[in-house]
Amino acid sequence: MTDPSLLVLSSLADGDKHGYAMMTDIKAFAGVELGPGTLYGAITRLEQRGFIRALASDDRRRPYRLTPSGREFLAEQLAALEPIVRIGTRRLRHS
Amino acid sequence: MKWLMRRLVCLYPRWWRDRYAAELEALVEDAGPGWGAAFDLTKGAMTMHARSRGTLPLVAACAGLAIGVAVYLRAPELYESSATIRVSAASATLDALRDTLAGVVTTQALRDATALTLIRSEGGVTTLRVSHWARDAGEAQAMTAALAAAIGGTVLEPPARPTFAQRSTSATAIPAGAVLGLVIGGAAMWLRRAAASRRGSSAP
Repeated sequence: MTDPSLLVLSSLADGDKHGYAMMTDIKAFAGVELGPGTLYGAITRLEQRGFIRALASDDRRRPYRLTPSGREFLAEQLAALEPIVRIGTRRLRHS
Repeated sequence: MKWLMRRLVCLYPRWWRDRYAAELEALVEDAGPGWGAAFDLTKGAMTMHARSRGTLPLVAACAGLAIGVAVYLRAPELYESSATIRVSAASATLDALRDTLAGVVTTQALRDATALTLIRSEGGVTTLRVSHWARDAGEAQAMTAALAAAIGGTVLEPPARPTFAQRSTSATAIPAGAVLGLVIGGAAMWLRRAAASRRGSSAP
């Protein structure tokens, strides 16, 4: 799973994070190193769709939070991936 | 490198920079600059421009570029042979000489592949160049020799057998196609937005 939007949503699922925190978290849990342009491209899309929102901050490192609709979207996406992972894993075992 | 990264952030659209530039610069400072990040920022800026302006001009420019390449590659490669001739008759105007060539250049295709250029005309002596283009080097040379013979006069420079061919369409067709596609795509997008805005303003 390397879709940047899904990775960002998954990263925010356990708490608010700013850009660099998301980048390091994604690298830790998915092994994917998102570039700054890719990460902020995903953040832009997700914020425009209302799946995440920026929190007020005096620092340039503005944190983001998953919205309820973002949480719902993430759950749907992960549920759609689940049978693919399950069936793919089973077929690999039997091949 | 930091300077380059700041310049790359400036490549993003203005609306985007107003909202995200400070955050992105902070992220680049934290993550550290590098060539991979520079490439990623360039790609991100291009994507954001395409998203904000619509992809129609870009798609049309690519289509225009492809058409330009196809036109250039489909154009036949032609050999050019030329001869320089001196004609002493005072009445040897280019129009009169073209009439003289009518017996040799019998079809429109041959006329299109032939050029008669005036080099000098003084004291009743006219120097001119006759050129002919053909797909075959020998044919180009033979036709030019026939044209020179039909004109008469003194052949100063006989037609040589050409050694290389050139495409009949210039390579500028390729960028011209891309620019034309960009203009058409931009105009189409503008018309579409204008129509959408008219629909929006006329809505109750």
